[in-house]
Amino acid sequence: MHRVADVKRGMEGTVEDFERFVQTRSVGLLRTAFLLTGDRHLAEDLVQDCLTRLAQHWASVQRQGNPEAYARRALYHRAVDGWRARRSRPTLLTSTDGGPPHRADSGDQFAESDQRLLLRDALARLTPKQRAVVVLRFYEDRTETETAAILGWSVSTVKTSTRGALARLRSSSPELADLGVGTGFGVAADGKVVAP
Amino acid sequence: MSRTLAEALDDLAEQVGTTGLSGDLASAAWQRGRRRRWRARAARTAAVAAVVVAAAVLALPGSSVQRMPPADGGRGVGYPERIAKPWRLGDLPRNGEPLAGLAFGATEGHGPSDGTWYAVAQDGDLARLPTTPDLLDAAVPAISADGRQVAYVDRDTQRYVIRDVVSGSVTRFPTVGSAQVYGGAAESSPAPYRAEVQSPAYFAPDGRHVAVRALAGAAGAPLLLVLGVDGSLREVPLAEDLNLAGWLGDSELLALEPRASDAEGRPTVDLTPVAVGLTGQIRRLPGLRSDTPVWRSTYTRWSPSLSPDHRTLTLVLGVSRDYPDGQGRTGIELLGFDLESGAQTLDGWSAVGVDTDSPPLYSGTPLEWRADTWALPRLEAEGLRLGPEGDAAPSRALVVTDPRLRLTRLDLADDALSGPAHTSLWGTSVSALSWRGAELLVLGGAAAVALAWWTRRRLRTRGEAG
Repeated sequence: MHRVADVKRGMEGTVEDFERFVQTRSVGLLRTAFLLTGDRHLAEDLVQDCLTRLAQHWASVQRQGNPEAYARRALYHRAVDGWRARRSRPTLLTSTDGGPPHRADSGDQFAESDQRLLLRDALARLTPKQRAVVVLRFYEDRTETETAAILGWSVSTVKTSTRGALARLRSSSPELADLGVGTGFGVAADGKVVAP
Repeated sequence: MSRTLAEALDDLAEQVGTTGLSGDLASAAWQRGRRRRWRARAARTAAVAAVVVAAAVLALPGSSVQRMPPADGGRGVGYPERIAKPWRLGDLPRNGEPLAGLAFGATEGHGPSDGTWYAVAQDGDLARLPTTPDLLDAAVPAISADGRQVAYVDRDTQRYVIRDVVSGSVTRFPTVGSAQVYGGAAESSPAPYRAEVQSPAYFAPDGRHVAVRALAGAAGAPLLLVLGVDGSLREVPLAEDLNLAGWLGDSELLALEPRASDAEGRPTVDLTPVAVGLTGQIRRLPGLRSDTPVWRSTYTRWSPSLSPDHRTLTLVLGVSRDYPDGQGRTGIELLGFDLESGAQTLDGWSAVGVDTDSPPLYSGTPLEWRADTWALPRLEAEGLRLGPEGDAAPSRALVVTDPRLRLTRLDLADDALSGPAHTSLWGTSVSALSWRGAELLVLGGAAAVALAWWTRRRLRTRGEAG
């Protein structure tokens, strides 16, 4: 009986391995989820959802050797597709009801804080697809090909979405125009990617 | 351009802090994942089981089981092993596959004569034959050997029709009605010819003609009508009171001439086979020499049955016998005669039940011949059952029927039994469960769906509460 139980446990993976994975990786996942949702609680929900999915397939995912890649892929897919299917989609929280927040004039610390709020609000105005592509390209520093592979899109769709996302970021928050995209290209106000 | 977008995103993400999910949340995710895993496994198992069952249900009816030797001329149309009560009964479709036979089922709470005439498909599906729904007080429908043609008195017009169930073509005979008009609908305009009740009609072996015993004119003179699928109508006058027994070929009919006699002080009947040409000429064959008297009360126009090789004539007689245990048994006596010599070659007895008050069932049990073997339907408590040589054991049964149909007559096409048996998952089981398998499957499916819905809802509610 013990042998059968051991074999079965081996096939399904152990809860200890899973908990160890969560302990070491959950912060990174949570940060990505936060960028995708704009809210800490929603991010936790999203990560929980993905971890449940990961636990469901833990044995096979562990065998493949890269549980984090599976979890991240699930995270993006849930953020783009899964939540879209929900009857009541969570409302993305913004710091303002309408326009951008009042910009503080004094001190770098306040300016950075303002910029964080501005960026959060600007991300909230993007579509889930656009948010996902921005996070993958500029937070995770993935190439267009890697982004396309993770999201299951074509490279041209990734390019289009990136261009659209950056254009919307700048149009919704002109204050963010100072930010460089860090990829060697700038984006004009009309959304076109141009050489800096 | 003091900062890049990547740096700004890093900065924003750091707002989450360095505290990850707690161990409790990880454990909860693991538990939920495990539940999902089990549910997925259960769903996969259920899906595989459903596919296996569906494959068995769908595939097995098409499988062929040769239960009786084939008749001359090759394979027949095939027959169903099971005839189950359908959920919904419709009229016979305009065209389709050749039929396996015709059947009559009595309506519960009515007399044995009131009910429904069914067209039986080769896979056991039933459709309503659009004829007068009466066994004894209306013309008896007939089916051709290949199951392609059916002849009956149309329910709406009260006129005889021959219908090709494959092509859908209908040949109407406006001058031929039924001797007993159902419901009096056509009493005001009686047909010149009226097919007699309780007189089976017979299709010629080639299926081109059907022979019907009828009454003609206001006087009701008996005659034979030979109706063609091309619409032709031929009168064959009867000088004697002859009972049709079948066709000796495509141009000669076999009839029996009954003569009243008596033995041991009880009324009996002497029978002489007669070959009747289509022009009315009569050729008498040697009289049937029975070892035991044929009691007049047991012989009817339903009794004769001719073997496919036209050499053996059998009589199916409903009789009661007293047994040494003091109880009487109602049953079927089967007498077989060689047509050339008239000598008796077969004497069989098949008890139907110990209840001597039950009506004789022989009128509903035509003998089914295949080569030199025969099968006889018997009415059991579990429904009408067709078994080889009267053997009604379910394990040897050729056809079993749903008792809820209350079938009292099953007339298979002559070529049906030489074709493949259309079997199913339940085989020839006569258990009550087997007849309700489809209902149980649907109920089980509905219960599974309801359970899945309830579980999902409960889990969702619990998740929201958590």
